Amino acid sequence: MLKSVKRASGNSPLETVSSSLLSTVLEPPVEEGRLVVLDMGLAAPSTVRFFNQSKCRLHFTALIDSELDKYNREESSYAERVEQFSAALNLQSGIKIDIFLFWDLFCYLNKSAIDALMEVLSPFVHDASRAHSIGLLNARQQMPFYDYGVTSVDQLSQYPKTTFQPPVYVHSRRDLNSLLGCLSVDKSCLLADGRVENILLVNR
Amino acid sequence: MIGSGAKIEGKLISDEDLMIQGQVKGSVTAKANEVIVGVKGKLTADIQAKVVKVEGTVRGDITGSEKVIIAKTGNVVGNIRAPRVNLEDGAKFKGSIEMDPEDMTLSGLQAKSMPEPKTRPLDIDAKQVG
Repeated sequence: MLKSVKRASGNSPLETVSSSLLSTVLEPPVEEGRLVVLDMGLAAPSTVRFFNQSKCRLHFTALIDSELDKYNREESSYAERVEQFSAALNLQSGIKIDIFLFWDLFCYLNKSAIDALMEVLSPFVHDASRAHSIGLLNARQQMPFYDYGVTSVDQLSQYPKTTFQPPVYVHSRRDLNSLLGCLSVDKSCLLADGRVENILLVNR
Repeated sequence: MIGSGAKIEGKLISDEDLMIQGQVKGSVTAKANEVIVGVKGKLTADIQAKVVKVEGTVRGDITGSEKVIIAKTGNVVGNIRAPRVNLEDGAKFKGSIEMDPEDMTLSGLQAKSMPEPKTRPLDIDAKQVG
C-alpha cells in the first residue's frame, strides 16, 4: 500500500515518546570491546548524548534523508539496488553491528528495495545483533514525518522534519519478515499516532 | 585567526588555539590546543586537536583528545574520534563517531591517531597567519 503525504515546512521543537521495546535493543551488554551502532538517519543530538558514556562506534548513514526514490525505481535491477545501497552505506568490510536503528526507513522503501538493503547488511549481522524499526499499524494511518533519536532506554526523541515526505509503503509484519532475511520481527508495540515499533532479532 | 578571505592548502600546524573563518584544504593540527571552525569556515581537511568546535562546514576526519563539539550551525561529513562528542540541536552530521570516555589522554590520541592525510606538505605557523 502506497500513501503520499505532503508536509508543511517549519521548525518544531523536539518531542519525546515512551518506548516499551527500546530497552530490549539497548540494554543487553556487549561482552567485550566496543558497541557498534548503525543508525539509518542523520545524527540526532540525543542519540549522541545517550551513547556518550559508552565505549562505542556510531555510524550515521543519513540514508533516510537521501533521495530514496532511486532505490524504489521499478526499472532498477536487484544488482543495481544492491550496488546503490552498498555505496550509500559505505560500511567497512569485516565489522559487525550490535544495534541497528532503522527507525522508519522501511516505510519509505518498497519490497524490492528492502530485499536489496538486507542483502547488503547481512554480512554485518552477528548472532546477538538486534534492531529497532517503526512502521504503521495499518494502511489507514498517516505516517508522521520525523527524525528519530534515543533519549533513554525507554524514550525516543522525534524531531519533526521540514523536508518533503517521500511516498509511504505500508508493510505487514508478515511481509516484513519475508524481506528481512537474517532478521525477523520478534515483538511489536503501539506507539502514538498510529505507529508501531518493532524489535528485530536474528533468526535462529 | 584565519580570516574569511583566507584560503590555505596544505598542512596547518599550530601550538596555540586557532579560529578558522576561511577555507582550508589539507589538514589542521593543534594537538594541545583548541581549534574552532567558525560559521564562515569551510574545511576539506582532517583536524587533530585537544578540543574541536565546528560552527561551519567540515569534510574530513576530526580527532579530539578531549572533546569534539558540533554547534547548531555546524555541518560535518566525516569520522569523529574523541572521548566525548557533543552535537547541538540543529547540527548536521553524517559519518561515524568513535567514543571512548576512558581514553582521555593526549597520548591516547597520539597512539590512535588517524593516518596522515595525503596532502602537499606546507607547514604554516598559526602565529604568522593571525
